Amino acid sequence: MNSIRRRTSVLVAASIAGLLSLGGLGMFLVVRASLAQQFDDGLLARAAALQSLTDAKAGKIEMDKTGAVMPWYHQGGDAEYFVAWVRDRDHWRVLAQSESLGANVWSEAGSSPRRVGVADCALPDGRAGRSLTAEFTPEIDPEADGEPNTSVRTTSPGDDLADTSVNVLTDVPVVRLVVAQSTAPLDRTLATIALSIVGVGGVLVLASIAATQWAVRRGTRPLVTLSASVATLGPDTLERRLDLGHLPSELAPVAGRLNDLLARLDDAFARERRFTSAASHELRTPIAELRMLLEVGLSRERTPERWEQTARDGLGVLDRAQRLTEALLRLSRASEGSQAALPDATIDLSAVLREQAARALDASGHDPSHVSIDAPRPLPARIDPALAASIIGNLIENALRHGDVSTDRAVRCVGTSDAAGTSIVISNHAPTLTAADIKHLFEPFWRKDAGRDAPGGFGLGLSVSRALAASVGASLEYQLSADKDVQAILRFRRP
Amino acid sequence: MRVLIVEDSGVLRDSLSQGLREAGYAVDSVADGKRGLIHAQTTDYDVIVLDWMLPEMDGIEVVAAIRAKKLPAAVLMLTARDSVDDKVRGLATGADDYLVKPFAFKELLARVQALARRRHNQPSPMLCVGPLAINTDARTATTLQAHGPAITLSLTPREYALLCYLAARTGKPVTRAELEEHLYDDSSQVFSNAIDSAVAALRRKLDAAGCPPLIHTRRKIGYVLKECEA
Repeated sequence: MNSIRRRTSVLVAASIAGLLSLGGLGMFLVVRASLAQQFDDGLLARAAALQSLTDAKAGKIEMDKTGAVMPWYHQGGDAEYFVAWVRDRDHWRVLAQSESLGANVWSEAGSSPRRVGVADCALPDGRAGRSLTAEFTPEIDPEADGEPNTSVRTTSPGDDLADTSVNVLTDVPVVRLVVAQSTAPLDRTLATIALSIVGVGGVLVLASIAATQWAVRRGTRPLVTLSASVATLGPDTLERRLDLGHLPSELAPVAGRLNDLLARLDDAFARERRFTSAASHELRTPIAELRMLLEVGLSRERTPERWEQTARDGLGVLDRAQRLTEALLRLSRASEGSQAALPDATIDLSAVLREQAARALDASGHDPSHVSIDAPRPLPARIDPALAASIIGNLIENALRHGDVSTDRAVRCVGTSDAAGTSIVISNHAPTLTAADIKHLFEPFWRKDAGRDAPGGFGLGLSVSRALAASVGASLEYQLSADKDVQAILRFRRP
Repeated sequence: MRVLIVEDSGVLRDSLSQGLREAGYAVDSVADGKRGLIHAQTTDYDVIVLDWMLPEMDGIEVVAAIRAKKLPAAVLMLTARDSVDDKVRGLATGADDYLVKPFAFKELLARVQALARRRHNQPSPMLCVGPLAINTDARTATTLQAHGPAITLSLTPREYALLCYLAARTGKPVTRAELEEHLYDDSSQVFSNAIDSAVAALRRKLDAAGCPPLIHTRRKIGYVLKECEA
């Protein structure tokens, strides 16, 4: 499973390891460059020392190279090397060379032309090293005299090297000096430093992984807690809410939205439970009624008149059960969400309003003065006439049935039409209705304090009417005013 | 035994009332919770058959009010709610039993009888007083003979109810008013000598079956059923 904690730990640990590696590499390169510079400075110092031991007097170029001054040029494991040439016209002749070279000739150092500067090289003993090539003009000793261009003495391999000199014929002698030293100590130091960096870096990487895991675990603890709380939620615990108090600011909005969602789900589940309970009640009651009628009837001998009454009662129960089933089917079909086909032409809702008011008055036995109509013609709407009659008729019937209706408190039917569309408002006085009841009006089977034998029907009419209105793009809502007038507002958009 | 039915379905209310009356119960019935509670407070019912979903005041509110007022009536709840939570809620509120619609009338009758027995601390369906044996399940009264077969009494529902009520209180005087309250419902026309006449008829049938006198008169009080008058 994809884990935020694991992914974050790996990413942070990899980042730290990468940064540490880059840092270690950078540090190693800086140290190596610094040590190489020191190494080269050492070569330069050697060369300067040799230069200081070289002078020209009485036509001779001399280099005083006593062993005490230059012990590092003796033969041995870590011996250093130098060779000094002097240019005599177009020829280079060896002025002096280190004891470490013995009788050998360091031919590579004498290859000409040789670039002045520091370069890697192979030492005569085969070791890797660095060499410094420098050229200089020896200082002329002013106390010396003689003809500088008359004699030349050169050293040969195996000569006593305590003091060497070269007689040169040129007026301005040039000495080329090559100083070389093994880089093995430098390489060993660099290897030690590299190993130290790798070792310390490895330890730091391991420590950083552990620290990262600890930090990530601690940092994601609220997320884990929230996840555990959410995991315990289910259909039976929808009344619970997530505690926002201990959550960090990043998670609090998420938990807040979850709480909102839970509230809506809880509300929807509660509505569903009420519907199921009410539907169960309504569907089981006729069965119970029929069963009791027949069982009690059969429990002893009855007269034919009594049986006739039982049959009539049974038919009444069946009739109600049939109406309930049909109402539930209508609600089911209307609630499917499908759009009803709209006719091409509009109809005049004022005519429908008048027809349905007359029909409802006739069916309820109310006086005609109990309904007032204010509906200028035309009130255009694109809806099937039968559908419009069903919706409007149901609203007027409800107003007459449940409202406090009299000549002074008539059911008012008002139709208006403007640029936005057509509206029909049916209002009546409802002294017992409360604001809390309004949200239940469209709930199936909801009846305010009405028993099954009350003349209020099943409590499905408004649910069906709203679903039918929605199927033609219209809206239906109820509002309750402060003086207890309830308004059913049916709105159609402009065709 | 007197039963109150609180049910908003007229057909169900009438059928239950008829069935229970024919079984010997005095039955009152109302259609909403508020009137049901008023009846329960003003009459000493043995059993109240109470629907859950009622207008004005639902069954849960009614049973809670009955228990809050410490009324002794046993309550049998009728409802279409069949979930365990609903049953638990009904019983926890104070109902003594719970019956889910639709139900068989025989089952309802058996539960009403059981609740009536429990109401009068009578765990067994058999009531025996001397040679008289009453089976409240079979609704029969029999006199046992020392020599010869037992004789089953032929009683009207009212006489059977009277005998049962007295037998449930064997040895305890029962006033005429109490007998009237438990044997006659609101729809009955009760004459001043109705109880005395019913007792006299019952005595005659017991005597004809060879049963020694079991119903004794307490002057200015009422009657007592017991084996022999001290």
